[in-house]
Amino acid sequence: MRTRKLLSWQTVAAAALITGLTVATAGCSTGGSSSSSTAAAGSGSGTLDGKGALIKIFMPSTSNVYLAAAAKAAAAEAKTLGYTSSIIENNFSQTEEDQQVQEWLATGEKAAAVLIWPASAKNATASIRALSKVAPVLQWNQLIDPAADPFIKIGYAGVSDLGIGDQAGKDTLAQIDTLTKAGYKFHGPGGLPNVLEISLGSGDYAAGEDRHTAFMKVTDGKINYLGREGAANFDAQGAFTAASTAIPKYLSAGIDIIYVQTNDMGNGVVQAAEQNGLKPGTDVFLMTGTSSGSTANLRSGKITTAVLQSPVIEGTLIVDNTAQYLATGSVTAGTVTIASDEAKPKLEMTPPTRTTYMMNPSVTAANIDSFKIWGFDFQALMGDAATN
Amino acid sequence: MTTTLQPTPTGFQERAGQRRAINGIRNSALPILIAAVYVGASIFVPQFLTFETIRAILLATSITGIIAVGMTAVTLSGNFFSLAVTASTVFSGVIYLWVGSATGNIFVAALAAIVVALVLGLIQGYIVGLGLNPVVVTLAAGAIIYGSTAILTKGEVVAAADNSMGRFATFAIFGVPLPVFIFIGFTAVAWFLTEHTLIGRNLHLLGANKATARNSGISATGTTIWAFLAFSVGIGVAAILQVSQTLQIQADNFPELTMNVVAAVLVGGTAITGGDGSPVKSAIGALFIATITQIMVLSGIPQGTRYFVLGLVVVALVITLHLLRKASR
Repeated sequence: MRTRKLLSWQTVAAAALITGLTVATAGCSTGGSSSSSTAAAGSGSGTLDGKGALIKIFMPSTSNVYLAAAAKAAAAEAKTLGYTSSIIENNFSQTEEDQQVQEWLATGEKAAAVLIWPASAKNATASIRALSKVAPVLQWNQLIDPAADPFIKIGYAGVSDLGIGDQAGKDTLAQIDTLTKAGYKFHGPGGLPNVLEISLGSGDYAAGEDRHTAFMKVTDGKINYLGREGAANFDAQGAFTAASTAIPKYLSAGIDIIYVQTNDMGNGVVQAAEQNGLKPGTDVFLMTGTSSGSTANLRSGKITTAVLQSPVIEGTLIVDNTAQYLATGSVTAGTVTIASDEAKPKLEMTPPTRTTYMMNPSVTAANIDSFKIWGFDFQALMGDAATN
Repeated sequence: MTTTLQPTPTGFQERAGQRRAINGIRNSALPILIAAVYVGASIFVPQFLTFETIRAILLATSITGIIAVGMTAVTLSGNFFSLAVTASTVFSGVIYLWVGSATGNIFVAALAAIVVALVLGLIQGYIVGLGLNPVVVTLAAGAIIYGSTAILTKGEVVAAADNSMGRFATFAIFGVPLPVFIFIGFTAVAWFLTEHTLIGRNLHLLGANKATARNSGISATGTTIWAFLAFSVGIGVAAILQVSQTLQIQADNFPELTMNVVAAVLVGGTAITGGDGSPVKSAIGALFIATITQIMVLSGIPQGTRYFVLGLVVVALVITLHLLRKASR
């Protein structure tokens, strides 16, 4: 009888222990398969391996070559890290993106994280807020609007327009220094170079404003700024139109340098300058931003410098930051710009920085063929967003 | 005794005289306005009267102007406008770069671009000529052509193999780029064909009164096809010149081209309902728009304000010309 009672007590204890272990194991398992809940709670999965969890990406259309390359890189990196990725594209419309967010939320699909490239960062807060309720959110390419900041769990990763403008400004100062040493005489008052700017829009486009502001900050007091003409369309054709009308206005004053916010647009400005009797690379120097578009003028020296903006790095970076967050469940405050390492650094299981910018080294005819970042040459870094 | 009231010959003559006067005002309004603008700008806008500025205006006019001149035939025939302007221009531009890069011959490339534009125009013209709504047809055609370009180019930048493909734009005579001369020549040919040939008269008659034209034995389908072919030549030529200027093109280039062309045709005074207008007037319309834009650039007016002012000017001119046309009937 006593033996039977003892057995009974042991059975109950063993059953309780097994039940407890089973529940605990199930809890861990749930945390692993749905990283969002774990991450949101502040503890990570403890591994960079995605184990098939979904990363949902909202972004504008991949009919744009830069976005296509970025999306391709993000999907490839997600696969490498063991995540599943799925992209929903909009036609550069925040209204469309908002609707897509609502439709996706209604499906009830579970995602470890959501990565959003807002069509309009200023108007995306409602969608970001809604997404933040089901998964941690990372924003990319468009800087976080203050109103959306509380709902962004992971942070920002991607391009820095301030960084691009800053680098273009530094390139301009270096070119001024080189020309000065070579005895070049500038046209501006006090021997300063006359600088014309062809920008992304004229005060109505955030990226254009950031690039303008950063450029002006770096070059303050070292150039004679003639003024700017905004391109309505951010390509070679749009810049050609803008420059064709702006150059005659300043031609009599003498134009030494033209700061064009992208290399793609610079190709249009080269032609407009030549039609106005200027010789790019000889008597006028084009300092450009983003390195997309045809590189023919950059290679020939008609465009003096461009600034690397790699969609491949950007696509890879957003997934890496997300994986780090999901693994650690936390974020380090601050801003960091990643280094231009020749080989891709091993992804560490450390929290990502709240704001992570890509590198923006300058691209010139001299270094374009020897470029090596993360194991990619220039063309591979641009992923079809630039052509020879 | 009965009294019959009849219009007096004097009344007839007075009304006829008034119509002639109004028509005279309508026909000369834009040239007079442009002359006034040039005189005013020469006095009040610094750097307006320079060779560089005038060249910039003519260059800006040439591409839009060539397409507007071609588009005039479509509008004259009573088929409103083609809304496939942007897509067709981009597609022809891509063909120019591809063929030029492959063959190394810019003339073969130019021919290929024009032939492709003609094929696109022929298809649209035939469908519209059968009686389908031109707005719907050309809008759909634009979407199909854009989609085809995006698929074929994979959304990538299509660039020239080398700078020689830019010769059509870089070649200059007395400092004036070739596109300006091509624009003038194209306008002259279009004017001759429209005003002094049978097909030109058919275009006018078809646009003025389709039923009468049909009763007169004019083929609506055939005439519409001719109108679209004329428009397509303009598309092909403009695409070659535009791409020659920048040596690269993308599927989503020229987003404002359609509106600029339509504005030039309307400002030129061509009746949107057809039957009344002239390629020369469309060319002048394009010149007027480019001139006003350049004056605002030289005056330091911000881009947003420029669009606003230009829009107001275009609307005011189109309304005025419409009222004058009504009064002259």
